[in-house]
Amino acid sequence: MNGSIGMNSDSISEAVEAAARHLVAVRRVGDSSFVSLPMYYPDGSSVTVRVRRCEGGVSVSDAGFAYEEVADIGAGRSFGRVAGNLSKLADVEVLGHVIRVHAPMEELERAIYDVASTSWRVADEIFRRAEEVDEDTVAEELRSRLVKVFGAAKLREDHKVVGASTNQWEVSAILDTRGAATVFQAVPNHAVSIYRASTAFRDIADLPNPPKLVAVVRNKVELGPKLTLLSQNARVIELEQSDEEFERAAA
Amino acid sequence: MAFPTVVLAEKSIAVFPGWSVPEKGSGAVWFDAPLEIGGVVEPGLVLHGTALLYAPDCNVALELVARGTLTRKRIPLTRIDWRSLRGGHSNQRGRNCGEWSRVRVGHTHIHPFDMNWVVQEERMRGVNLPCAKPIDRALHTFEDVSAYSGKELRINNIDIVTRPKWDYDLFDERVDWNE
Repeated sequence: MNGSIGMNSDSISEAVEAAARHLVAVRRVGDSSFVSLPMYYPDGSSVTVRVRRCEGGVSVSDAGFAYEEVADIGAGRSFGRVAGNLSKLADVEVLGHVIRVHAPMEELERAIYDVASTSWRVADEIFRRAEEVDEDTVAEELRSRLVKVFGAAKLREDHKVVGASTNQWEVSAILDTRGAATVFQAVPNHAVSIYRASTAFRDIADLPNPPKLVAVVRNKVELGPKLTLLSQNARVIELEQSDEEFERAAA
Repeated sequence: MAFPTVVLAEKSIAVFPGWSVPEKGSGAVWFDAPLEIGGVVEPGLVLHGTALLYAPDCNVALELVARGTLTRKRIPLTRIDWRSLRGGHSNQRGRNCGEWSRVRVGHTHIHPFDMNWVVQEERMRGVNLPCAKPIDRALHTFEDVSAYSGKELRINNIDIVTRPKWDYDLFDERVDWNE
């Protein structure tokens, strides 16, 4: 009875079987069968392959769905290169915007898996890069700016600082001026980036002889209350501020 | 213009460019129609549509897209998926999709702006509208989807978007969408 703690084993079996049936779905449209699998693209839609008969067996493709996923966020140009590399690993091919394979009928299951997993990996790789690239872009712009203001010779090649906790932090740039070091960190306006930078700054500030710390953001006003958090252990300037202001921040 | 303002504003399609030629490999067709607000075409703001030419009366997406940054060129704001051949959408754990978190929604659903906008941080959640919920009415035709999308996306002349030039094979089996 459902009033008792937990379900009995028959109920659990039925629930598991029902869940398993729903994990894979097949829908027929025209001459094609669309098989949706229990794998999800980064935005939550099911990885789905299209299966059709062809000479010698079956054609299995992702119907261009991985391309559609990444084109939707303006990353369609990355598709060719990423799909080309990943499809070689699975021995499938890329035709235009489609990942596909032709296989004999007896290899249908394997073909479905290989196309689906490649399609998922392509979308996952490109989405992951899209999430990372914001921080990388701000850091690159910062480094270019620092070279212009201070000269390349004053920037260390090493980007790592060990904090008081002995944790090693990767930072955007380390400047050496008059025997003292200044750490510059590009901080995009994302909560995760801000919290990570604040934690790093606190750890580095606790060193016996800490370097100067400067957070570089796109817009101080847009940070709102998080500006207070960031400024607890670091000076905060904007990427577009003047060369003199950069020099003052490092002084 | 801030995204919430864009989403709430009354919009018009400035020009419907027609559906593209089908992509060679996938048979996909699409369009980007620039949108205007108050008679002014907003840079990068488009109604984006996709369909498959060989799969009539299904797999249509209509989406409001804003111009992104240098690094992310397109930012989807709201999307309606109709009879998606990908079988539906799964709202992930910990994605803050409210009552729809961890729920799988069916082939016809909406990714609403307010479920995918993080108010406190003034940014979109994730990269491509990770939260979705079912649509509360049956949409049987392309025109039904178009009308519904016009209302949700606040586009007052969406009827100028024509249906894709689908191939209807008389011998096609009728697909049961359980609507």
